[in-house]
Amino acid sequence: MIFEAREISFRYTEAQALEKVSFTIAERQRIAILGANGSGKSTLLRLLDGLCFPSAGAVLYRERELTEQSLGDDEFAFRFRRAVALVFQNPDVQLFNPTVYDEVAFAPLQMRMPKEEIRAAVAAMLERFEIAHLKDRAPHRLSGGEKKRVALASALVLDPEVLILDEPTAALDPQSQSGIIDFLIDCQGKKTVITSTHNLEIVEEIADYCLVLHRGRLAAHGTPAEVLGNEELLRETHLLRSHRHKHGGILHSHPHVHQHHSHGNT
Amino acid sequence: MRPGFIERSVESLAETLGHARLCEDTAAQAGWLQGVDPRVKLCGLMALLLAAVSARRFAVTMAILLLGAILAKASGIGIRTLAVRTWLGVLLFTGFIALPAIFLTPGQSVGLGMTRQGLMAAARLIARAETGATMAALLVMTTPWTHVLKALRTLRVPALPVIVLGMTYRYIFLLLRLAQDFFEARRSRLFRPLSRPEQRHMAGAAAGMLLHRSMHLSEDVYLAMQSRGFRGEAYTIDDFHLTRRDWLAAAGFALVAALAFWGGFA
Repeated sequence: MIFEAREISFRYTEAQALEKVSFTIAERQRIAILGANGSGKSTLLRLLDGLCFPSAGAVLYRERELTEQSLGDDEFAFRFRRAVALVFQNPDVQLFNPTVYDEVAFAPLQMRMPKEEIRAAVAAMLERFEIAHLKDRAPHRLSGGEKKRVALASALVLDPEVLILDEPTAALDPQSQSGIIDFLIDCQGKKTVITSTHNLEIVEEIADYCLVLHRGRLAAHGTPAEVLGNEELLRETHLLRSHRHKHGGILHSHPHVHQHHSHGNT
Repeated sequence: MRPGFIERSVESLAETLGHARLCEDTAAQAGWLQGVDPRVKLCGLMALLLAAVSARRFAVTMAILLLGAILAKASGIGIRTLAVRTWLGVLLFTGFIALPAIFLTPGQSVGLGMTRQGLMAAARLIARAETGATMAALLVMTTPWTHVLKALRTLRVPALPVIVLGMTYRYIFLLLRLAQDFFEARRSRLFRPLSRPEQRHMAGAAAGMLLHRSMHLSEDVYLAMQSRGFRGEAYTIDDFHLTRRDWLAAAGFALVAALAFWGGFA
């Protein structure tokens, strides 16, 4: 088991973000965390990355609890940060270095890897995400899709065993979206990938298992086919959008039902 | 019609962003200073600046200012651009500070209550400020900001202040864009010019919003740094190689600076 969440709750000053959420994540599993805006997805991802800690319950990484104390231990922190990488929803938060090259080199430098190894790893990542031509550019002058690719490269440069992605396809054009989806498909069987999204169209491609959050609680879990086939659940958790069209000149609206591949049309 | 508060704010924000873009574009074009290693350029221009501000002889300061203008021309920076963007502002600011000296410095009267010694003191102060600003402008306009920061690192300036400088530069753009969006959104919803109290209220709201957003942003950026292994000490990678041309440029800067120091004190 890579991660275990035991009845975790988290509260911001103004609101309860998560309440008694429990689940486990196995090695090389691809998990989609589904939920509407404000359901607690981003908070959950930050807890899994050890950036904040639950107000009740516990998050365990390889059976060791993630706490301020445990991450204060240099050896464990080093191992954890090398093994788990988070790609933030807003790339502007993540891309804080002056150039794309420095951005990708940031994590290996903090891990005190030898300079030659860093240069090789950075060059490989720039090549893999087709951003070598941007290496001297300032991240703030890149397009949304380019920023996302740089963010992915900077998270993957250490070859982490767990990749956590917060809304990776949000605000991207279709081509950039499909690039990210291709990458996530490619991770199948190689890495543990935890992706938060409310885009049901991509779930079957990027996940083997889903956790559905609703108002900070775990509303359901199951395979993509099970979750996407449960129209009532999707409606209750605000994951279905209304579909407007005309019947004989009368404007009509009903929930948009997702077509999932394993069950055919629903 | 005289532009209102919002129009002026949007214009000045756009002008600031445009100025920064102009610097980045000039730094990317071909030119004499652009071809010199950033470390050589930083040290060389700093040496000229020190020679100019410490020179007792007015002619030496003016000679360095003239050299700055020649270097600007050789680097594709028009004298007009330099005059409008650098010299004029410095002249107004320093001129205002130097104004009393013209009348208050005792010495030989030249009419209208001014003294020869006072005029010379004011001219020397303005010339020093103009030369200093010219050297700084030449560095910023011919060197990508990222290279300036890397040059500082290779010259053993501690990593933390250099990283803070880099991040400040990077996030200032984000906040400027945010402010621009804020004012444009307000403009799109206004039907009449704002009164003075309303303008003050809006300026306060914009300042508050930016402060709030920058605090959130700084918290998120810190989390993103932590997520990639930052533990209070930052490391950077520096890749500069000196060529024959750089050595020649370094020798040239050293010679001119030495002559200027000698001439300035002789």
